[in-house]
Amino acid sequence: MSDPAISTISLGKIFRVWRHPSDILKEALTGRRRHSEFEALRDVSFNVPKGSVVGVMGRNGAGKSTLLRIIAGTLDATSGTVSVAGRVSAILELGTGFHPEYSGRENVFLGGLCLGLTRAEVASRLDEIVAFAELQEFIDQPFRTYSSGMQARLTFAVATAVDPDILIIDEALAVGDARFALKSFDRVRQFRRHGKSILLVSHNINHVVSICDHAVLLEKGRIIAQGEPSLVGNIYHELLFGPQVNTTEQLPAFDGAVAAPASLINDSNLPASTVVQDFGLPSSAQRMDADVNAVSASSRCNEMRTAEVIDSAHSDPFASDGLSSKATGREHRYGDGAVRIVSFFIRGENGSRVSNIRSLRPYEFVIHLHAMRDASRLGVGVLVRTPRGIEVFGANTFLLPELPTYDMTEGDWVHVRVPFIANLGHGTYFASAVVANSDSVKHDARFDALEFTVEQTPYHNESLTNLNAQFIYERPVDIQSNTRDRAGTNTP
Amino acid sequence: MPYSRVMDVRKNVGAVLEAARLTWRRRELVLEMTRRDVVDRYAGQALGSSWAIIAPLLTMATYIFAFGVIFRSRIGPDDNGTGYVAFALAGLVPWMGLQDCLSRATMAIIGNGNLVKQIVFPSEILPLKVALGTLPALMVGLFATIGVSAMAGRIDPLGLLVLLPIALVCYILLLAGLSYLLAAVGVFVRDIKDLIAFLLTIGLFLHPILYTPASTPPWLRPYFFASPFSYMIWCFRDALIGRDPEHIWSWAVFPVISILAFVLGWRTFRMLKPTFGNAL
Repeated sequence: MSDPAISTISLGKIFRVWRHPSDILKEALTGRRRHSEFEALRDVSFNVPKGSVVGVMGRNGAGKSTLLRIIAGTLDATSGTVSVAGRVSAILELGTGFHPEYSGRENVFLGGLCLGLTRAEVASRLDEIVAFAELQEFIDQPFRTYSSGMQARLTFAVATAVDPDILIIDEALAVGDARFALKSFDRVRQFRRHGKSILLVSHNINHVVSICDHAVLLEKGRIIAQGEPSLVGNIYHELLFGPQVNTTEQLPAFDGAVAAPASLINDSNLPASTVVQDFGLPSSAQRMDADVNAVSASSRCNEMRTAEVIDSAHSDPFASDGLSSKATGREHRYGDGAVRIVSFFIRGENGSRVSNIRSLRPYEFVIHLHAMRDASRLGVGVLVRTPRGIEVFGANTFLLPELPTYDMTEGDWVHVRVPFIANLGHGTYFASAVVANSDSVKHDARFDALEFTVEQTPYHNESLTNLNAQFIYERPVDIQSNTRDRAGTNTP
Repeated sequence: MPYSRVMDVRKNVGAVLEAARLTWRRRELVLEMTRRDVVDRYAGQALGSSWAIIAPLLTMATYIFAFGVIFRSRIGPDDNGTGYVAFALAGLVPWMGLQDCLSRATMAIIGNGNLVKQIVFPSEILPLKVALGTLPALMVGLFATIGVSAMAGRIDPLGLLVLLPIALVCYILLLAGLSYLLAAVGVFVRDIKDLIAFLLTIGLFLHPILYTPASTPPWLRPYFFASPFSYMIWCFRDALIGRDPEHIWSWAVFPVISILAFVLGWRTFRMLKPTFGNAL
């Protein structure tokens, strides 16, 4: 493999913070330390191979922007090395380099010159830039009169028009309407096809999952997971919505089992998922293979088994059939464990559990809940995603106002049935089930716990959904009378 | 050790070549930024960029009025007043360019924080555009000076065609170098903005700008030699109002000072550039 476009080796960044500007002078003169240090990045190592899209996820303040700025070269690293091969164009903030008083056209010129184009090059690409940003009518108006979406579009259009080898985008795809986001994605994909590399920051898990080849999850300046975007997305999701855990706390190591595939975690500081361990639930991690590649391998042999997930901690009769400990190989589980999803499966029309289902046929998700403690105001949700993490369908009981929340007392069992019509196209899907209370405290969230396949249908091509469409030919009534004779002659 | 590093010939030559390459490669951007620098300063004002011409002319007129009309300064017994005006202008014009450039150079990076922080962009252009942005006003001042000097009959072709271009090249190098230095240091020591403004104000009276040689108190003269800007003024004066045998060696000192200032400024800027992000 050729050298990566971007490579960082144990990158670290420490910001010095002086409480007062005069402290800088005093420190310089006396040599006595008068600053406090803030560690923004620590031991960050990852590669962006040529021709790939890498997404960086993380909460606010996780160090994403610091990382991008170091890679873009507008900030120095305290330790470690960065190597960047090729011309970089970065969109680190919307509308930068753009003067609010100038017209859009003048800003395109200045922006293009700033990014390294010549005046003639900008002129030759002007039409394309304006057309892409869809600002034909507004291009001669001052930049400050643009809406934020228009500003974002122009920034994106200029930054991608310079034809860089490496494009760094910070949150820029998040603005603009859905249609422009789609266009931007197309352009990013087009970039990748031409062998360019893209490094992208987003809060939006779906963005990262749908266009990235590789994802990096930062938390408190460290990489806590990297690898397959949908898997990293799961961990990020948990970080955002899971129980609050002090992640800097050193958690006890347990038999090499980690919250994500071992190869994905480069630090003993584990994300919150390890908390599952505290109440004796088998961590999803223990079921996970040590390598991401194994995920696809395990999904290939899925037809061997029934799609069902069973909590192995519970002495369910199905626990012994060997299906329980490795349901999908990519399940991600967390929650406080007050209520557990003991099993989760799809039931077919004849009442049996199935993993291969037929498009447009009725099925139901079955969720077996067991309360370990008293729990009130419960609700249940299900989610269906593609292997790449695109959400196909999601619903939960909190969205249904007519459905009251449910209370359980310790030891209670509840079976939840979710009948549905499989309006899905041919392919593999992952189902998730969540039980939570109305305060959004997740008791048990089992992401991608269940894998199932929708069988090929003879009559529609590869697509996610099956709208059960029909094709009907009709002649408009008024024309019909005129053409009846001719039509009549055609039929014997 | 620091001295030998500063004087490292190879590094200094390298710095000059590096600066020349970068500036040439991004010449369109440099020109565009400079143009906008001049235009933007007066954007939204009724008279627009005419202020770039009017403001320095008014300032010069004020000084000339004070010293030429009220104090009745003359450079010789046969001077009817135009001689002094040409003499004072020849010093005042480059000084005002310096003043304008240095006071804005301290803000060149701080004032464009978002540009420096957020896009992959050669920030070396920012101090340079400040230095180059003073040139339009300087040109206006020079034309005025040449006009007055011609009226006083003191212009000579050698000065105008040979010495003035040399002085201008050195002047731009000096301005650019000081701009780099101040822009870089200004990021970390923000007080420098006010310090420079103060020094420039008193500097007008501590340099041989408005004083005729005859009216200069003898005790002040040694101090003139201590300031690098005195040599700049003497060179411009030679070029604009006839050569002065007393300061002929300024033509050796001024170019050396200019080149050193440029190299020192550029190298300081390049050294501190990666750390700008920490302070912005």
